[in-house]
Amino acid sequence: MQVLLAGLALALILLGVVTWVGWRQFDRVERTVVTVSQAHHVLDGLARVRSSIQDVETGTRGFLVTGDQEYLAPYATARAVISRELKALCSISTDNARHQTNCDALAPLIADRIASASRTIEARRTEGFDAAQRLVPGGGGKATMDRVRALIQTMEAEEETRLSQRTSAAQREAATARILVAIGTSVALLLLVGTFALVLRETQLRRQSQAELDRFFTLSLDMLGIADMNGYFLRVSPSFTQTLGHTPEEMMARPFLDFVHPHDRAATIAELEQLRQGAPTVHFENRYRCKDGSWRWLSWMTQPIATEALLYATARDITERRQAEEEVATLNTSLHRQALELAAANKELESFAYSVSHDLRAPLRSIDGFSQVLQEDCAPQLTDDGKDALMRIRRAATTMGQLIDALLGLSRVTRADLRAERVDLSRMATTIAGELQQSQPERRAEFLIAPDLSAVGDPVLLHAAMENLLDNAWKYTSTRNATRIEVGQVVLRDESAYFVRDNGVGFDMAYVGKLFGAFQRLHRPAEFGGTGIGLATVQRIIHRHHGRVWAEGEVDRGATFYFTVPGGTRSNAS
Amino acid sequence: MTHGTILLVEDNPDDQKLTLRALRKNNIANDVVIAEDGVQALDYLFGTGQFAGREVNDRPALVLLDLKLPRVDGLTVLGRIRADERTRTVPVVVLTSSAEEQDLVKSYELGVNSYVRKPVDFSEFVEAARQLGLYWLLLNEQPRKNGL
Repeated sequence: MQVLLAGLALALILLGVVTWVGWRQFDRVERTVVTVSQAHHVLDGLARVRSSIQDVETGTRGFLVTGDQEYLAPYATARAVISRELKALCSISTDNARHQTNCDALAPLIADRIASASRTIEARRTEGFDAAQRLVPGGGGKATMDRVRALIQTMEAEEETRLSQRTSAAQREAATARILVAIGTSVALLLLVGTFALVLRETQLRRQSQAELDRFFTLSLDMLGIADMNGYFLRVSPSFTQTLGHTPEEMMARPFLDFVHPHDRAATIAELEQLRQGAPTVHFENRYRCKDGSWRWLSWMTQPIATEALLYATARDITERRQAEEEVATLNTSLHRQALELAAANKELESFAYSVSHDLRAPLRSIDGFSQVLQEDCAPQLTDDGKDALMRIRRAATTMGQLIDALLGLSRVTRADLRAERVDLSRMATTIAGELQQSQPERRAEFLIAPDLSAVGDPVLLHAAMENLLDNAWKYTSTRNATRIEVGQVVLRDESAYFVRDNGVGFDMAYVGKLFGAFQRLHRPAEFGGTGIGLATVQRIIHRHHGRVWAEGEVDRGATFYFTVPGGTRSNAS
Repeated sequence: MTHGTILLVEDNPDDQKLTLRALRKNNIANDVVIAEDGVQALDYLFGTGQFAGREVNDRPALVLLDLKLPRVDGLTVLGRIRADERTRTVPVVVLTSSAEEQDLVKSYELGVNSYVRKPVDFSEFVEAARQLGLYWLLLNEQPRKNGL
């Protein structure tokens, strides 16, 4: 483009120079031609003066010889015009000094000659031929005439020389002008041709890049569009039609706001205002109506070009992504609601369990209390079967009381506020072991408790968990000759876990899932007593500490219960 | 055994009867006045309502107080007893089936003397009643009625 402009400018400048030089040259030619015609004029003037002076002489001579007045006519005419002719001759080429000198010399000679002619004519008229004839030789007419002739000849010769000089100068100037014009025109023409070629090439390149752009425009999966600041599309790519179904004509016929979802219109107008201020749009999302009435989410990137008052926009169909996002959001909301409902239901269940267990104790007290009243006050009236029945009633009431207490304990675990303290598990286990041994001093038992076991958690709840686990171990080893219970810590897969291991009756791993459920028991009450709530309580306590609890066992080969307490479980065996 | 009335605040007739039996079995022969809810208990203590005109300075030797009561609950009754100059020193034992930690804490905050959870096993209850009677009626020294 710049080359093009430079070429064009150079051509123009050259043309200007050529015109100027040519003009100047023609000026010079013209001036030379003027001097040539001047020379011609001088020659004409000289011829005229010569002719007139000859007329004077011829007329005078004719009259002298014949005395006929008729011969004086040329003389009179010549005498009348000659001074004017001489003046005209002298006024030409005033620039030539020699010409002027000659002119000045010529004037008195001619006047002299006319005066002598006049005297001769006068003499002839008044005194006759002879008197006049005498005047002729003495009058000096011939000598004057010769000098006039000689002078005119000199002037003619000089003027002829000048004429020939000037003519050849004029020819030279004209030739120079011709060459100059020819060269200048040729160069200008060459430049013009070059420029034209450049223009052609440029146009071709432009057409090619335009074609490339058009191909991309047509090919693009994203929607491409050019819009004016009034909110009309001026051009849209075919992808608009593919995505929305509207033809380009339909898209351009109306303001694009007409296609925008009513809920997105205000935001779109605000964005458009930003664009008018010159701020490009990086991520703007709105919904466009499709031909079939459905809506598509589009994400826009738009660049305003202030100088063109145009908006260059690309849009991407993000409907799927938006739908996925909305689905996730909906799912989240419903999950959240469900979680809240679950928590509420859980809480309700807890308080239900609590109040049921609590209220059940009152009638239970009555059952047990009045059974004892019967035993004590009415023993004589009772048969043995009756006494047995009362005994069973009281035992059942006691069992039920224990169940209720266990349930209450379980619900308390869930509801109690959790404290976080460093708890010495080793000492805790040792104390509990001591109590167990004391409860059945006759049993042979060995407790192997690792030193320096500590965890960060709620001391009351962790004590309850440890107590339940050791109770369990104690209970299921009761049929062994020698009880062996181990409390320690292992690292399993980067996780530090505490364990309570016994050499008791163990359990079938097939039922391990039932182990931690409330009221789930793997043994008949006749074999081992218990409420079936102990391990459920342990699980709740550990879960409340965000830990895990699990068990491994084998029938007749003991069981191991593991649990983790993530709030700082490393043993400090320093 | 010293004399003096025991005020039993208990709405459950079974529990009333069993409590009386437990006291009797422990040879606690004090008069027992039964209030069936918090309002009756307060009326008795402060000589109002159906007990209008009762000598308030004739304070009970012991109040056995259930927490779950109709109309006015046990904790409120306890609060009123401790707030009033005339009844401040009366020993109050909460006798309840509630094992709620906050009930226990609240009771001690309000100045209860003992907190006994009613056991299901009647024998245990009798034992508890024995210990209560022994301590609060026999061993515990109360300030003299007329003070210094």
